[in-house]
Amino acid sequence: MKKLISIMFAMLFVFSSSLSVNAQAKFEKMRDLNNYWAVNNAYPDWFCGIWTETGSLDNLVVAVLDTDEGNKGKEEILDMIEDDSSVSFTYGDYSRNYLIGIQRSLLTKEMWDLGLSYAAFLDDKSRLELGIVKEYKDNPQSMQMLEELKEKYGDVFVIEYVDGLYYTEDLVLTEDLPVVSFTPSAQNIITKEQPAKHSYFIYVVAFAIILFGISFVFLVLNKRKRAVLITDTGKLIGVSEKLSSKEVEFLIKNTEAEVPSDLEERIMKEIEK
Amino acid sequence: MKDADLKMNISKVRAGDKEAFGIIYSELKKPVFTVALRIVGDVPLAEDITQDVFVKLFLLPPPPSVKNPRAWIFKMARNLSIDALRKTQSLSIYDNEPEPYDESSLIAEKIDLMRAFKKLSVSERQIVALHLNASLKFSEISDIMDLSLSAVYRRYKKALKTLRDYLEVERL
Repeated sequence: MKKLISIMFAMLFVFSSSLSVNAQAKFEKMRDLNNYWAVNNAYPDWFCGIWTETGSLDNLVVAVLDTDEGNKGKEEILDMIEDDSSVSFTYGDYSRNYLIGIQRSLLTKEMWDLGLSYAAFLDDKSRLELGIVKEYKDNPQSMQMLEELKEKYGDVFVIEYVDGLYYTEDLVLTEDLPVVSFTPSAQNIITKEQPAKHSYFIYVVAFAIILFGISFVFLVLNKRKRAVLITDTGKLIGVSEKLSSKEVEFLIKNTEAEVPSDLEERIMKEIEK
Repeated sequence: MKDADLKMNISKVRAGDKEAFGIIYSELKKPVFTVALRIVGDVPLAEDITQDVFVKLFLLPPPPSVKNPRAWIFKMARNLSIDALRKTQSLSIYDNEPEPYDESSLIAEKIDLMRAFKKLSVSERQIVALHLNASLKFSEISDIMDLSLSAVYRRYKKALKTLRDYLEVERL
């Protein structure tokens, strides 16, 4: 029985492992892979951006860095999705993760006080768009801030002068990156669907329940009587019906025979003869 | 009782110290009796053997040259048990055929450990009793029984399997 249960646990482990591997390895389309990356904050460092030019989420453009890693990344994407026609590639100048890191560092009260309205990630341009309130256009401190940013980050930024201050999701300072990336020209390509991986987890749970159910039924149906062991001197010990060698050894070790109480007296009499 | 304590008490027994003998007896009476009983399968016979072991221990204690007095004592118990068996049964020197395994003798509710031991050969009973009840190592048992270490181990495993098969209750 122990072997049967062990085998069942091993099967469960192998099954769940293979499912989780499969769930990570294959997505139907590029939008599913992008969903997974977005929800799990798992964009690779060679990834620059993603958008649609046709308006359809089934045909997405992915920008990667023009490096060895970026080119390998294209192959990785194609390995991870089943429908290769759901993606086409181009190159971008800056990694999304790099730009998001800069974006986070800019979303502070100090920057707001200098007229920063938003810092938006532009997928199709691989840039950060800084929205500066028009009234701050001639503010020396604001201008100095922009010069310093340009000096530090180069041509990462695109500047837009906007009316008033407003809040977008990009300005929410949280630990989690916003799911939506603000692209003025591109559609929101993040769907509300859950990644496929979660549906596989339900199957794993169901399989585990079935395995435990089978084990339980098997145990109940095959329940044996408990045996009573009589030792050499009539002592009763309850034992399991299926014994291991260790249990047999334990039984024999711990069932020493009781020595007759008068034996010592008999021995002493013999000695004193 | 540690080996050093046993040696010390035996050296006192050599000098006729009954108190030291009493300490040894208290410590070893159960395992010696159990070993004898496992081998001969008869309580009165095991009592006689135990009595002989301790009488001989007092009257002729092991000399200081004996490095392992504990093994010496159980070797004596084992030899006396074999001698007793020879007197009561027709027994070949090396071994005895065990009782054939009889499935119909399995009892659904009560199992007799003594009967279980009778399913073993004489040499198997000795090995199991000396290892589990006398707490002797297989190397010590190999010396006592003049068997190779591998033979001792092999017979021990076989004996455990026989006991396990006998002690398990049939499915009802």
